[in-house]
Amino acid sequence: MNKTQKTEKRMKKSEWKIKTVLALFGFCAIALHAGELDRLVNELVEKGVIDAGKAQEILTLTEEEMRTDMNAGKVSTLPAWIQKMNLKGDFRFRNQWEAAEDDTVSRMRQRIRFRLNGEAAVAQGFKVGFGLATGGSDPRSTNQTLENSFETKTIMLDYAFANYTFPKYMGVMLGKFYSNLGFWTPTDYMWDTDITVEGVAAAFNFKKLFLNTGLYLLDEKGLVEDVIADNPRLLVLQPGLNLGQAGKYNLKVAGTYYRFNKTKDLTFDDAKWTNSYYTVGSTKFLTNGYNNVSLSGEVAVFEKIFPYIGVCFEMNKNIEAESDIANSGMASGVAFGAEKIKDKGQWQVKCIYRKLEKDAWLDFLPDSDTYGGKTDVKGSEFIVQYGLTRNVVLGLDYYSIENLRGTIKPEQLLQTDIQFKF
Amino acid sequence: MKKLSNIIVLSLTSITLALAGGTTKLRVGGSTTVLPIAQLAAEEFMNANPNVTLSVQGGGSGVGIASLIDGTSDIADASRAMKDDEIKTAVAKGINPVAHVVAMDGIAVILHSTNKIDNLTIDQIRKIYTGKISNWKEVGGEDRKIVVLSRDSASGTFEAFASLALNGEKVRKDALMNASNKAIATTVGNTPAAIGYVGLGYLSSKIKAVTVENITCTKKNILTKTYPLSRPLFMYTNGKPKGELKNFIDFILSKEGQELVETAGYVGLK
Repeated sequence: MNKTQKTEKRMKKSEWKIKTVLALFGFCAIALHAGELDRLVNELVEKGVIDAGKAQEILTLTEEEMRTDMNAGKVSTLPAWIQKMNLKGDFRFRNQWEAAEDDTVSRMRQRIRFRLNGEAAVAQGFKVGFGLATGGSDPRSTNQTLENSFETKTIMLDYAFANYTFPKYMGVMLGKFYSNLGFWTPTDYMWDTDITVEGVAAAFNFKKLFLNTGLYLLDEKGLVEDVIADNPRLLVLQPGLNLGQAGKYNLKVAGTYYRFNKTKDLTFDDAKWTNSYYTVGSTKFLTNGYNNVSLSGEVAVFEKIFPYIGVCFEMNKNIEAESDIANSGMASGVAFGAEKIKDKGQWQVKCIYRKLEKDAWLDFLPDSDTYGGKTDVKGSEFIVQYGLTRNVVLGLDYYSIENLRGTIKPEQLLQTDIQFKF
Repeated sequence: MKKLSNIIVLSLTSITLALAGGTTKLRVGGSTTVLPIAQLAAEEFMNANPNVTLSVQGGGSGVGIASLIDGTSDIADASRAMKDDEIKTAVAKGINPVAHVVAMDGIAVILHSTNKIDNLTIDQIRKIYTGKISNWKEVGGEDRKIVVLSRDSASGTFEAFASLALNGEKVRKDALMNASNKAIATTVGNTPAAIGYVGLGYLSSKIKAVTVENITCTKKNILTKTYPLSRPLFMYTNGKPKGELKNFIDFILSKEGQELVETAGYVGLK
C-alpha cells in the first residue's frame, strides 16, 4: 500500500468516525442546528479526528444540501399551512399639512396606514388573496388619523379575491381586488390607487398584445327579478400593446372603454357631488351617464442619464355627457431616478399635471388627495422619494390644485411620509 | 449448428469491443475562478482514462449553472453557491443539483505593488467599491484618485465579493468591469492607483494583496474561514454522479486531485 492509498484509507476512516459520532448524537446532520453542527465539527477538528478542510466540506455541503432540499420542497421547518401562505405588508406614518379650498385656516394632522396582505396557494394555478388595512369604509383611503384620545382603530377588509392563472396567456380574478389588477392606468387622475374594485376580471396576453376585461359591480339596488337590469355595473374593455427590451426601454399603450350600464338618475355612496346633479327632496341624483373612452401610454427608458426615466400620459372623454363642454380629462407626468425605491440611497422624482372636467368622470373614483377627490379641477403634484435603508422609504408629496370654474379656490397639500415595508 | 454458434460468438465479441471502445464525453463549464482547477484535473483525468473526453469551458458561474439546468453541461463550475431561485428553476425542470466542494478560495484584494496601503477593513473596501471613498488619502494613502476594477456581474467572484464585502450594495458606476480574473490582475499590475479583487490563484509578484481586517489571505486562514473573504468553490452535478462523472469528481477530491487544486493556486481540502 503506497502513501496515497494510506492517506485515503485514513480519510475514509475519519469519515466513518464522523458518521459514528453524528449517529451517537442521535440525529442526522441535516437536522442539526447550524450552531450545534459548527461546534461539533470544530471539536472533531481540535481532537484531530478530521482536518480543517474536511470540516469546511462537511459544513458547506450540509448547508447546501439543506438549502437544496428546502427549495425543492423536500423538507421544511415550517408547518404546511405557512408554506402555502405568503404574507407581506407595510406601515406608513404621515404628517399631512393642507390648506384646503373650503377651510379658512390650514390644517395639520398625523395619520397612519397599516396593511397586511396575504396570498395562499390553493392548487396548481389557483390562489386566494386578501388584504387587511386601517381606515374606515372610504373606498379611496386606508389612512387612519391619530385622534380621539387614543381610541383604538378599525381594521377593514381591503380586498379578498380568488385568482386563476393559465401560464403566459390568461388570468382570471374574482372578488374584490386592486383596480390595477383588473386594468392598467399610468396615473391616478381617474382611479385612486386605493380603490379595490368588485366583480370579475379576465386578462389575456398574446405575445406583445394584451386585453384586459372586467365586469364590476358598483352597487346593489334592484329587486331580485330586476337585478340584471337595475344593479349599476361597469364593463371595462382594454386592448393594449406592451413593447420592450429588458433593461433598455419599455413602451405600453392602451385604449380603454368604460361602459356603465346606468349611472344617470342614480345616487352613489361616497359621491362628492361635483358632477352635475339634480335634487328631489333632499336626495341628489346624477344628471349624466358616464360611459368613457380613454387612451393611455407610458414610455420608460433605462440606464440613460438616470437608472429610469418614464413619461406617461392619459386622456379620457365622457361620450355619454349631455353637453360637449366639461366632459374630458387628461394627465401627463414624468419620473426619473430609480424605477422603484427598494434600497438605501435610491431616489425618484415625479411630477404629474392633471385636469379633470366636471362631468368627465364619476367623482367618487379619482385620487382622493387631489382637491378631495373631486372633479372640475386642475393642478400639479410633485413627489420625491428616497430610500433611507432597505424597505424604508421617505417621501414628500406636494399637491397644488385648483377648481376650474367659478371662484378659483386653490388648495395645497403636503404629505411627509415614512413607509416601512415587510 | 457450429456455424451458428460461431456467428453468435463473433457478434457478441464485436458488440463488446464496440462498447469497450466507446468514448464518454463530459461537458464542464462555468466559473472562470474554478476553470484552472477543472482544466488541470481534466487533463490529468483524460491522460489516465483515454476513453473519457472532457470539454472544459469558462463563461461564469451563472452561465455554468444555467447550462446544467438546460442539460447542456454535465458539471457546473461555480465560485458561489447556487441561488434559491436557480435551485427552484432547476427542480422545476427535473434537475436535482448536487453540490461538491472541490476547493477553498480567498478573494484577494489587490493593489499595485507600489501602493503603500497594506491593510483595508471590510468597511473601507465597501466604501471604495460603492463610491463613498474615491481617493487613496481617505484610507491613509497618497492623494490620488482610486481606479476601481471589478468583475462583471455574470461572475461568481463578483457575486461572492458583493455578498462578503459589499453587503449587497451596488458597485459604483465608474468601476471598470472585467470579464476575467486575469484581466483584473494584469490591469492592477499596470495601474498604480488601481484596486481590484481576484481569486487566490491569480496572485503574482506584480500585484500586492492587502490584509483584510488585518488578516492575511493565507491557506490556513481561508480553510478556517478566518479570512473575511473566504469562500468554497463548487462543482454541481445533476443528482449524485455515476460512472465516469463520479470517477472524475472522486478524482478531484482525491489527494492527487487536491494537489492539482494547490497547483492551480487554490486551497485544497486535504
